[in-house]
Amino acid sequence: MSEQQKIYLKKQKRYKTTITLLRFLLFAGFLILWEAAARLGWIEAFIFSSPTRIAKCFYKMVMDGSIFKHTAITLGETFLSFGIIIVFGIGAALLLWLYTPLSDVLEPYLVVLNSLPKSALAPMLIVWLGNNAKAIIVTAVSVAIFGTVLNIYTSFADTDPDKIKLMKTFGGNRFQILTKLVLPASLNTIISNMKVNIGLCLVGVIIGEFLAARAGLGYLIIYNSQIFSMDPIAMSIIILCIISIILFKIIDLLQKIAKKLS
Amino acid sequence: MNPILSVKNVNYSYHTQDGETPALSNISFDIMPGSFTCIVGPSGCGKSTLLSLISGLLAPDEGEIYIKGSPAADSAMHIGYMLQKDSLFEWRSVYKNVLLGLETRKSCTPEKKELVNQMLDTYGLGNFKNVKPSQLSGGMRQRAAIIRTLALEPDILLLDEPFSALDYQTRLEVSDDIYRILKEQDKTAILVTHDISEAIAMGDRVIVLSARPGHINKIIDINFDSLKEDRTPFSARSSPEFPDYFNMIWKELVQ
Repeated sequence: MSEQQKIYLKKQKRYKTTITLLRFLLFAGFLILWEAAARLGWIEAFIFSSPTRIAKCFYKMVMDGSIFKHTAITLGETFLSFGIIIVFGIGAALLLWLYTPLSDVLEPYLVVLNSLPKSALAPMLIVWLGNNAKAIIVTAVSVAIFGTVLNIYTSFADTDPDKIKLMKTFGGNRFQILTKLVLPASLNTIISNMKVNIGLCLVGVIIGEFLAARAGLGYLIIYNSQIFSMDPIAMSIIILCIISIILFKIIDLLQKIAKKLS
Repeated sequence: MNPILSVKNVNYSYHTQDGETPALSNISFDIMPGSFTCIVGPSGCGKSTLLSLISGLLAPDEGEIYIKGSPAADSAMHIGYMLQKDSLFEWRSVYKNVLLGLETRKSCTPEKKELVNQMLDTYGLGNFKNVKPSQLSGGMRQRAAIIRTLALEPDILLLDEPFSALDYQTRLEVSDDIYRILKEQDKTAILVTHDISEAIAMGDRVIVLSARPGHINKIIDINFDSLKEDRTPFSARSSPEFPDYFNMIWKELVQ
């Protein structure tokens, strides 16, 4: 290895370390500032909470087990709605691709439903479906499903016409064109879509829990805001942050595995 | 000898909202087994449409196309079609790409795989079986594409401007490669191009189409007596007969 290459690599490495360090410092600095501000009376700790108050609250709820229950319920609802979106989203996109007249008929409706703010649907869904998990899951599904269908269908429809022609010259039927060409060509779009969807599901579940739950992190937030107890709210938000990081990482891992396998 | 392919009085039009566009008018010709025919014509004269008709992807409005004596629509199995772009699937390895046609026709037997392996070795891709197409050069991609087509053991190869996406130097090399491969395998080939030089360099015969709606202006037999056995597309380009053929075809195209 040449001297210049060594210097270059060293530089790169130093840059990376600096970035990681700064990220960590930013986080630590924020926590310290928050804590100090609360202790020194710059902000009202009762309203703004503080890292130690959150930690105490977390400890208390770990001890009585309630935090696990709430987190598990929110996670369960998120996974369930995510699963429904993936299955029905891909399924619907397939139907639209297979039957062009169907997609021509439905397209304007999908576009409208996709641009509609879905949180507006939630109160109605709760009246229809009752104050229960079913309403929450349907709300979460409604947040992401239309975008998913449109997105995946567009990707199917954008399959390179030359490649479709190639498959036809091989005598390929529609099913073979689908499995050998259209689906693998859209795999990346589907996974990117999953990345967006897992976040949207969490949004939908929290909206649903605000309105219709007796448990879950969204319920914890809305309930405690009504009794002015800010520590559990801040704690729930932090747990939500951690959950979304973990879920995103899982899909990221899936994407890497899919890339390796293909 | 009977022709392997007969095109008889074929007419074809495209239909759109704005009206009808006649693409081909009264096309007739025969192709003999083992021959290399080039079709030249101005852009939009229906050259690619003609190949789609022969391959059975489209049906003629009027006229008939026979392959080995039976209608083209039923004889798709005899045709290998090489498109302008190599259209290799990025998510498949080179080897899996080359097997794509066999897989689709559900005829991926061990013997065919053996044949494919031999071709990959012969044509310099033996060490690249397990890489992704993105790691191949333009010329190697075209070779992979032609092996994919030849794996189906077609009687007739249709080549739709397969070199047009390549840079000039690669284009000359790949022309030589493909020509050699097709001659070694003793295939009947029909090449569509708008490049007069390419048509003369590769063809035994050049069919000159007119502007839209395409009809046959002239069919010219190409003979390089000065070259005999040494004929390659590249050597043909520098032979004494080449400029005469070029002028002859040029006159037909601009008339």
